[in-house]
Amino acid sequence: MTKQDFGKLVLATALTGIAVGLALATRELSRFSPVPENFLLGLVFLAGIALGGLLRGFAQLLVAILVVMLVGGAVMTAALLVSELGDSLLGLEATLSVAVSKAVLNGFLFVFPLTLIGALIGRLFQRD
Amino acid sequence: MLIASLWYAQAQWSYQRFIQTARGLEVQFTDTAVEETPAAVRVRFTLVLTNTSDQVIPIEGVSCLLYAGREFLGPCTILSTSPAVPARGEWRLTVTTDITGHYQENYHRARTEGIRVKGSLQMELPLGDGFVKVTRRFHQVISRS
Repeated sequence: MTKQDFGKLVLATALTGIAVGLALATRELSRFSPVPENFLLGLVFLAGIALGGLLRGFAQLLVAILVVMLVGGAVMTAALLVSELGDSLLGLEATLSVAVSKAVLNGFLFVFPLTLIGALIGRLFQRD
Repeated sequence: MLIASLWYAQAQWSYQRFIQTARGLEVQFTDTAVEETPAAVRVRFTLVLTNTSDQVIPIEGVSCLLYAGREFLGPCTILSTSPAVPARGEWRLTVTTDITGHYQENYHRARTEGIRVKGSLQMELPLGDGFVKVTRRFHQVISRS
């Protein structure tokens, strides 16, 4: 793998993580979301397919999924905390601990399985 | 990522608009009093919710707890509540609670200048064609009369 390829891979993984984090944060605000929850989970699945199409080794794939989980978790925590601005008197807000626990839970429940299945399907589309 | 950002921005915009509606509801305490008799300590207050929006806000319930310093004095006694706040109107709830028994002992032990009321209002705020349940918390210290 060339240095340029590695750079592209890091960028693709980071962007996938951001997309996954934002999709899951939108899912938490499902009553206010413009699209149904399934669309948001579908986006996570598509991100997995895209990732699987890029990576060849299974070990690389697992590392990339782990990075996506970490980046996605951080983005989701930050995105949920944005919702907290200005609604401190309501019972809807996410405190930091709630946001982090939601991000971790979503990481294990949705990001890992959906991106893994998506990535395995994505590998089928690889050109040798 | 662009699609996810767009959906997130739309959800966030919609949420912040909803929050603006919630901010239009102001909670106030009036006619507050703490009266001490040998038999009981009576706490009285009127909770006033002002609705500045053009929509009727259904109220699901009210609950509150009383404290003197760190000592717990029991729950408030809420007899009945009006089911909704009228559009551009007021909603009033008069709460009178008698603190007796070991709660009264707690009150005398605490020796504080007032009684702290801590509670929440459960209501439904309009969102699109439906409603979303929210909780509005409140707290107030009622000084001795």
